[in-house]
Amino acid sequence: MMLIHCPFCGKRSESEFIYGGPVGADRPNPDAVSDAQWVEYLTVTPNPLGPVQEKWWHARGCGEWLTIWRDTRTHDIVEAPENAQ
Amino acid sequence: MSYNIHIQRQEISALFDLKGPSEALQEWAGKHLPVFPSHPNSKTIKDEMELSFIGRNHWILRAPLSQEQSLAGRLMPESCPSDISIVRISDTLTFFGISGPDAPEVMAIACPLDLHASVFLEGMITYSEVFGIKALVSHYDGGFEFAVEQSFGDMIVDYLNRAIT
Amino acid sequence: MQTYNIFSLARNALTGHQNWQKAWRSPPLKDQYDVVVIGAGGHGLSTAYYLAKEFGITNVAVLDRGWLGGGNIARNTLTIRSNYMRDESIPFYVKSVAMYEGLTKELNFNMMHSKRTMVDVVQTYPKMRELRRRQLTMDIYGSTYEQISTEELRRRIPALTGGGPDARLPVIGGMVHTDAGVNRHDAVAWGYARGADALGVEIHQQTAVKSILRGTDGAIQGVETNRGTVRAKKVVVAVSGHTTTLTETAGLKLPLRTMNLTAFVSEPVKPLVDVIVNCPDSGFYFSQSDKGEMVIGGAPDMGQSFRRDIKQHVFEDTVTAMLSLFPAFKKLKLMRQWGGHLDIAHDASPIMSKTDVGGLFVTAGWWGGYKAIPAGGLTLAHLVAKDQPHPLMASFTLGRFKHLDFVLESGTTTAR
Repeated sequence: MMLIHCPFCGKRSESEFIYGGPVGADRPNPDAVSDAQWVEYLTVTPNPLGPVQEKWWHARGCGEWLTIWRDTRTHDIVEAPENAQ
Repeated sequence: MSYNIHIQRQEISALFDLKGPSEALQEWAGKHLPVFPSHPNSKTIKDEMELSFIGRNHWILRAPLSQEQSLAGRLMPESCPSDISIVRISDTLTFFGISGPDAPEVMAIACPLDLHASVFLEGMITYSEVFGIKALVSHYDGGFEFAVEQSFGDMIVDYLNRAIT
Repeated sequence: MQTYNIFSLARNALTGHQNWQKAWRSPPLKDQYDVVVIGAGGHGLSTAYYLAKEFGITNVAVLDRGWLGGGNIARNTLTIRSNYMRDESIPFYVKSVAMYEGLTKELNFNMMHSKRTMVDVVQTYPKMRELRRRQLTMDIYGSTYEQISTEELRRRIPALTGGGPDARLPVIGGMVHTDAGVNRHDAVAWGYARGADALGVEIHQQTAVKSILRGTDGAIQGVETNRGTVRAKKVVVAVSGHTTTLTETAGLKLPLRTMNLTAFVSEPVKPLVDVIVNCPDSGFYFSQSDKGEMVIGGAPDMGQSFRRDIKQHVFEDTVTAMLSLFPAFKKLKLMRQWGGHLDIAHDASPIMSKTDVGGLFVTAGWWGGYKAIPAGGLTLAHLVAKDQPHPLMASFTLGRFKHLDFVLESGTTTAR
């Protein structure tokens, strides 16, 4: 069980949250990129062995959406890596 | 094992859901409401009205049912400006009061919050879960209160009875 | 290769079982092969076996960073079935189930195959409609699915005492998949390893691939391992959850996410349930092993994970769901828990494909890939040998993402 920090409520049990998927690339302008780049945006998400940024929704709480960095090897919530955007 | 608690399903209350920037809400209806609470998950009280700060730009006003019509007349949900929203939700939630010496024990079965009096201070109110269902949980003198959607009410009674027997 | 039969058993019994040959060799690692297969799991070993047997390619090395058969083939719940949803998927799994049934003979290794049927316990009408729709598609391809009443369901599974009329999700009926079965995972890994080795394939354990090497023309040159460089013009990635970790070393991005799938077993008890029980509405499934343990699987944790244990709340949710239908299991002690980390593609169907990197092949996205091991190995060997996808797997190349021509199978597995 993780304790996820909600910016409004503070640390809360993971059970109050719904996982919202990994944070992917920003949506490109479909008219300005090639088909291959568009497909990559649609289907490819980061799958690192280590910290990954993901979205969570405090659905059974205040309703806030938030992002955290979580290490896929340990499930620990970690600081954002230094080279993260 | 049985617990020494008192469970009471409350009468229906007048409830209004308020959304939008607090300045805009105060400008529209501030004079009819308690002072807006400044801390997340806290509430303020004035003339039997409770105003709870339960999410970003999100408040719930609770009052005795007898005040519902007059509050609706003063808050004027139908004609409020477009940057705020006021919705009467009195019939959507059902409240349960849990009091008695073992109230914290039973609430600890139902709810993942840290409910210790030094953390979940008296007067605090927040959305969390009760038996896995979204619930508005508050700590008041001598016990706890929580509200779930009306349709879950009977199921919660069943859960509570199973938890205490 | 020494054959295993009653006579060899008797002969070796007379000599105190001191003279059995090793089931496979441990040859020295060469610096060049025709094909390098990364991953000595079910798919890697079966691919090597069929490369040698069906296509005569025997200069093959199977490399594994740990020990043979120690990855997901040892971490799943052994369910062999073909009740899928899509026209593209069903024939492949029908083939794989049929190959499994003949595998003991094919490999001269007792698979302990037990074709015991799978019974779905259905608790919602949408699920029942979906399964009946699947039945119609499966009928076309020779797979079997059949609806049964609640009474028949409870007769077949006497331990199913929950889900009565007053339950939140009452049991409304069942579906029976008679092709389904279980077998022994170690036998699959060891049988394929022994068979491949006998045909000349080399298996190198404790040989971790660090990166995939590309030449100046971009094509595959080989792999860098902890035991030095191994050159090959064709490299097959069959490593389940770590696919992207490896393909990223070759600069290749794939539409895969790695997730953790839950499993745990109870203490052994007397025979109680003789079918595979699947409860899609409650989110768990189980079967009873020959030793008597209940082998229980649950829904995946939705977030990405490379961990090899399970999350507490997934475990609790699974147990809660199970007790609602099987209240007597409350007394079972749970002995072990584990998670397999496996990658799932954007459309929840497997990927078996050439890649943009010349000579690099991937087999990935196997969500419940245990049932696919025989046909998966055969079709991948075909792809590697002939450079063309096998007809059964032609819809499962990376090309389907380029054309947004997905084979959506989410819902037919525990993946949601």
